[in-house]
Order: sequence, then structure tokens, then C-alpha cells
Amino acid sequence: MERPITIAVAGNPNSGKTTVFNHLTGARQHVGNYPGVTVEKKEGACRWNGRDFHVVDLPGTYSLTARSLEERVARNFVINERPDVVVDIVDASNLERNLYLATQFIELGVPVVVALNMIDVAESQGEHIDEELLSRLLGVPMVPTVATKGKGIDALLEAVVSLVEAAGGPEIQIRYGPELEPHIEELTAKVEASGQAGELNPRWVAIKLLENDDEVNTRVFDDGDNGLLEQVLATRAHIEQVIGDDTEIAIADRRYGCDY
Amino acid sequence: MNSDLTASMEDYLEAIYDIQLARKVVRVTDIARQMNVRTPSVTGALKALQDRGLVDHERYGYVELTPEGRRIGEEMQRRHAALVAFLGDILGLEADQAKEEACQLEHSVSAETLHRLLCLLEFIEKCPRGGHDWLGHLRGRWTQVSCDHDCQECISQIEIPEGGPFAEEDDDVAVETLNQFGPGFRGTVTKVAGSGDIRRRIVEMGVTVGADIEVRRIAPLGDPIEVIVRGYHLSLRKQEAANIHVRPEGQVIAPGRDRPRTGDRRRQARRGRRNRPKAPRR
Repeated sequence: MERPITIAVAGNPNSGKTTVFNHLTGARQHVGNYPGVTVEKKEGACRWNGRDFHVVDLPGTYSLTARSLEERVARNFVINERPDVVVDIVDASNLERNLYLATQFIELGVPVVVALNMIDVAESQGEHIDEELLSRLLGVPMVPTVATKGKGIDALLEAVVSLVEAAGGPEIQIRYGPELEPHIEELTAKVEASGQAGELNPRWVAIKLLENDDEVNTRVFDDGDNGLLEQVLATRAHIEQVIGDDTEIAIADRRYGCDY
Repeated sequence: MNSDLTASMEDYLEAIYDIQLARKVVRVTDIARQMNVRTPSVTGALKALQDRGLVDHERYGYVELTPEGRRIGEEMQRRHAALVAFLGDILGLEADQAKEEACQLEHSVSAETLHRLLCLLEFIEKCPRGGHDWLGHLRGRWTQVSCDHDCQECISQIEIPEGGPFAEEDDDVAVETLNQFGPGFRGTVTKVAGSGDIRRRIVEMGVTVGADIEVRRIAPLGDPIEVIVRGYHLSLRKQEAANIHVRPEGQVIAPGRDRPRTGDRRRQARRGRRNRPKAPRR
């Protein structure tokens, strides 16, 4: 028998994660806590089309920084437990902000399927979403769903299975524009050469170092000087001088696609 | 200042004034929390202040300052802010130490000394030979007492930015920030000021430079403020809104009270100027 596929259900608060989760698992749920923190961990199982799935409902987050408990829990689950697929539930009536989180998963390099949830609401607002184009632009499959009515759930699972069978992460990189991109690439190469990234995506590590992410800092710098720290500080200082703002802010700005 | 008032009474008036500014109504528990004392102590102090006609307080009710109490509270706060600015910005003491010592000094400084201190602060800010560089040179003195520099040479090295020594701060007084506008305002974000996690979070939530922003409504006491940004509703605290610099989109056409409150804005600018040696309090 085939190994069950682990799905992590992620998304902004109120985007319908739990509705999707309930639809997938029905009564076969199990509620616990993430070890050491009082963040609820819901797990469940389901069977669809002859495959077994293990589904985990991640806490609702807007981003994947190390700054809030929920975000750390969600992020560490994805990094450490390596789910086969992250299903990012996106509120289709509020794409811009919701896709910010999607960019974070894409950057992490994990296989992602985006559920364009509440597509009916978006349509009633007169929006039309070209999911094929969006899927091509972001390099991840997009499935329209209406979780409250159970619409699109089968298609979602189908996308999950075909992604697992294709065994591939996103093929697209989130680009940060002419001022930041050369520095990110340079630092990525250094991170890769240092071997500090471990099983993590080196580009993601480089970006997080520039964002001064506590957990990644600890991970990379804890076992003494490896020449990276100096490089990171110099790059940050340079970016701040050129752009005139904090590096984290510059990066967040560009994730929203702001150009200067 | 008021000879029959003890330092502790002045502290109470200042605390009540502070809370009243922030939350409009003042309860005994608020005062206890702010002053880090227990509620029975507050009740005792309120009794003494009431006997002097400085506060109105009915048992289990809200605490209110009388006009005289309010005057003293305001004065204490002004002194505190001025002393914190002097100790912190000019003498370069750590923020905590500056606050701590300001709390003690504010009771003993005479009105005349305070006035002259304020003049000094303003002089340092406005005089073309003042400003950041001048302060930098002054700071050199903490460790090295005598100066054998040629003063003329020193002065020629001081670069005065266009618009005066504190030009960048003056900019901040003139900019339009989101909290100055009422419902119906539409505009574009030009800068997200402030620092730390809250600023990063606000940017992550989509309030980036160039984003369109609209004020939807404001809660009765002016806080929080509901805005629409990137097609969704976001609630901001007044303080957070004050850090969002905006450029209005044309003139807002909305009936009556919904127009941008220019009066407020003017008042704000005045207040900004009056409190020039501004320092975050407590």
C-alpha cells in the first residue's frame, strides 16, 4: 500500500482553511497541541480515489516570519515535518494580500497548491480570476473552490496527487527587482557554498538573513563565524543606504510588487 | 510650584491628566496601574486632591480633574516632557534614566528655570550652529573634558542641512498623515514611518509605499480607524495611522463632517510645534 500523502492546510485567518479541512476529514479529526506551545494542532485523515491522506490544519497567518507564534509554528511545521504538499487557502475576493503568504511558501521551495477559495464571492463582486494565467505566473497549480459548498474539493485533491506524483516544487522564483536581486543572488551563492542552509532552500535562507529573521540567524550563525555574518551585515547596510529604508521593509514592499 | 502640594500629589495629577488624554475616562484602577501602586493608595490620594479642589471623584465613579487640577497636570506633563528631552536628547542619557530623573526633577524645578531650559532646547534646535553635529561635538565632551580644537575650524566643518539643522524633523511636522483625515479620505501611501515589528507588520499587511488607501470610518473616540487597502478592511490604531504618510487624491468631496478635518490638522501642526522637544512618555 502506498504511503499516505501529508497535506498541510495553510492560509490567512478567515480564508476558509478549517472549512476545507473539515470537508476533507469529516469526523476523522484529532485535536492536540504543537509541542511546547499552546497553538492548537488539528490533524485528520481521509481517503480519496484509493489514496490515503494525512491532513494538518496550520494556524492562520498572513506571513511566515519568526515574529509571531502562529507564524513560527506554521513555518516550522513546513520546514521540519516536510509535508508532501502545502495547500494554501486563498480568499479569492482579497487576492493581493492573500497571495503574499503564497509567495512565502513558494520561496520556501515547498510544493504548493493554491485553493482560490470563496471564488463565488469574488465573482459576485464582479471579479474574474484567470487562474491559468495566475498559475503560470506564480508557478503553482491554482484550483477555484467554494469550501462552504464543497465545490472544488475533488479538483484540489487531484491537483495535490498530481503534484506529488510529479515530485516538484515551484519552478518560479519570486524576484525582488534590480536593486535587491543582485545582492540576493550573491548571498544565495555564499550561503550555498557555506553549507549552512542544510536541507533548506539557500535562496530562502539568504532572503531571511537579509530580513534579519531570528530563527534563521540562530541556525546559520550559531556555530561560530563562517564569513556569512559580515557579508549579510554589509549587504544590509548597502541596501539601506541605496534604498533609504530597512531591508525588511524593502523586501516586503517588493513582495507586493511595488516598483520604484 | 504649588507650595502646598507634595511631589506625590503632583505625580497623581500628572498621571490622571495623562490617562484622560489617552482614554477620556479615568478610573481608579487606571491610575493604580499607571503609577504602579495599589488602589487603596489611589483612593487616599484622590481624597487629598479632592479636599484641595483639584479632582472630582465619587466613590466607584470616574475621576475627573477640576480646571485647576487640569492646569497643574498639564504643567507637570509639560515639565516632564521638557526634562526628558533635555536629559535624553541633549545630555544623551539612556531613555530609562532620563525618564527616571525627569520624574524627580519635575517637582523641584522653578517655572523660571524650566522656561530657560525650554529656550535652550529651542535654541539648540533652531540656531544654525546647533543641530545634530553640534550635539555630536558636545557628546565628545562626556569623555574628554577639555577641547583644544581651533573653534573656527570646527565651525567650518559643521554642515548645515538645507532648511536648518533639524530639517528632517521639520519635514515630519509638515507631512500629512492618515490620522489627520476623516472618513471618505482617499489617497496614496508615501511613507510608512515608525519602527520595529509593528511597522513591519503594517507593511506586510499591504500598507506599502504607493498603495491606495481609503479611510472608511473612525470609532467614536477616534481609535481605531478602519481603512481599506488592497481591497480589504484593516483596522489601525490612531498611533499607527499617525505613522502612515499619505498624499490625498484630489479634493475629497463628501458632505459635512466627512470632509478632511483641516481644523484638526492645523491644531495638530500647532501642537507639534509647541511640543517641539517632544519625547515619548513612559
